[in-house]
Amino acid sequence: MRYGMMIDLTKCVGCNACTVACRNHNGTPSGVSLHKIMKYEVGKFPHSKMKFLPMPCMQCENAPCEKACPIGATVKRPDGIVEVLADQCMGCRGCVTACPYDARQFVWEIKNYYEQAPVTLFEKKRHKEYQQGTVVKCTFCLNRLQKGLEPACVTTCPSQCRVFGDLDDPSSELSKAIAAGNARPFREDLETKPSVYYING
Amino acid sequence: MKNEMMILIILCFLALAGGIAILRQLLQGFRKTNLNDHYVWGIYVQGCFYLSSLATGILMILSAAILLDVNGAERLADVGSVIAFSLLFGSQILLGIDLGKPSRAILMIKSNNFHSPLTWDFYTLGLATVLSLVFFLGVLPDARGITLAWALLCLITANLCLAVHTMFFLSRTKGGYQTNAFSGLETLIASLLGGTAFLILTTSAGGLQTPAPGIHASLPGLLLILAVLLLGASVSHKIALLKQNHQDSKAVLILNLLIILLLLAKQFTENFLPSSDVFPLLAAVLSLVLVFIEKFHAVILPQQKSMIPEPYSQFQDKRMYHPSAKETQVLIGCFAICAFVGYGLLYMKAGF
Repeated sequence: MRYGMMIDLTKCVGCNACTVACRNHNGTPSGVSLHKIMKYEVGKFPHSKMKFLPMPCMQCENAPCEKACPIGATVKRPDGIVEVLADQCMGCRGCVTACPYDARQFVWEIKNYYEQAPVTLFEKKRHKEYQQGTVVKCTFCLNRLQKGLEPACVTTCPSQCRVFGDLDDPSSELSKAIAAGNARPFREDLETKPSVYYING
Repeated sequence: MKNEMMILIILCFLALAGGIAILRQLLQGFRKTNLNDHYVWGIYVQGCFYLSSLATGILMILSAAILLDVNGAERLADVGSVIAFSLLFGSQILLGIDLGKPSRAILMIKSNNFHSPLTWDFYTLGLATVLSLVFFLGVLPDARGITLAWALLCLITANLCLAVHTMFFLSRTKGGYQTNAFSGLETLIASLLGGTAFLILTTSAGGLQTPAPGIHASLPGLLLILAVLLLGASVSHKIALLKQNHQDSKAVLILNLLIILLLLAKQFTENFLPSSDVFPLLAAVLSLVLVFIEKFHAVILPQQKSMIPEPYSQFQDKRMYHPSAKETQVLIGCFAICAFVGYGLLYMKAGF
């Protein structure tokens, strides 16, 4: 069993619904985002166009962040998900420096979204899950997976450009979609063996 | 001893102010710093690398002098080990306050993940500190064999510590994103240069002059050799990186040339200019500035470039990191603590 994801960039419209769903589901403090979309421009005006690269954590099989952690606070689960043990992380940020996908974030401080307004009840409850001075990252919404649900970014995508499933199962929808679309991981040359595949748009 | 006591009291007050700044940083976290998701390591890590580089430089020079059986080497090591200890102490304070949760650093002993450069950093810095402490406390048995073993262990540890400090961005280099990680030769020479400069300045300080005048007189010569070597290494590094649009290191080259000119001026004027001794002191100060800039190149610059390659990162905020006033205060405070510890120990060693 190895969880993986495929993102079809030909379908992605860059709406950021995945990022918002991620923030909502994980209750991240302001300034902390476990998912990001890289916007970029290709071609020259008047033939230029905006393109988008959604980037969750790549859950690498050969994860540089796991190697960089001096206290073993980054662990790879048997299902392939790379997890940070928040109660052990000492906040050295060695993993942030090591990750070539910029997938990790350090919690510099726990801020609410509306600086002038008091902390909302949602923030009050959810921010307790975060510790200032530690590193956080995407875990494919581990708590949703444990309930048999797909990650929030997958279910929320309006253009349905994401497929989630088991990479080790050749009959899974994910494996079939990867094979059919000839999907490849981002920066395959790094030899980190990511679990996220892209169909290039 | 009156002047030394006065200096010690001033340093004590500065160290206290530094201690307060550090305590505030620990209590407030990183709120008042300019560190961000793009620059996760800033002036604290630069300062840590700087102080440890000077310390390892000193330890390597002392070890080499002892292994080569240079006359008066052990007496120089008496002074040098105290300075190295205080610098390593300071570097560890800086490393500690750069952690989000410093109290959890102890878990490193339990985990022992030797894939991580940080684990190696922890152990090599710790071992170098213990080695310098052992020498200045004088607990080593008075036997040549033991001293030689100490020197050899110091040399290996200091080298390892320096090498580790060039490995933090290695994973990115493999990916082809960054170019100046593992600039081993420059780092090594800069460390030796900084160590020599620090020894020149310390041994020239009033009242603390080393009782090994032979070695003391040869330090400016060593500084000149190292400055020339560093110039060669920097120029070749610059040429090698030209094609990769690397941030140039003009400041290092200019400072390097200035240091060489000052030391040459000393060589040519010492017979007829009584105040020519001031040239090595100036060159030593410039050397310390140069090593600080070299550490900026090693720690801050590799983070300038985005992790994600172009064109994907073309709209990412790539503003340069500048340390905040609080960060600078903490760094200066830490230097003051180093100076107080080093000077205090030397003062105690001199017998009040």
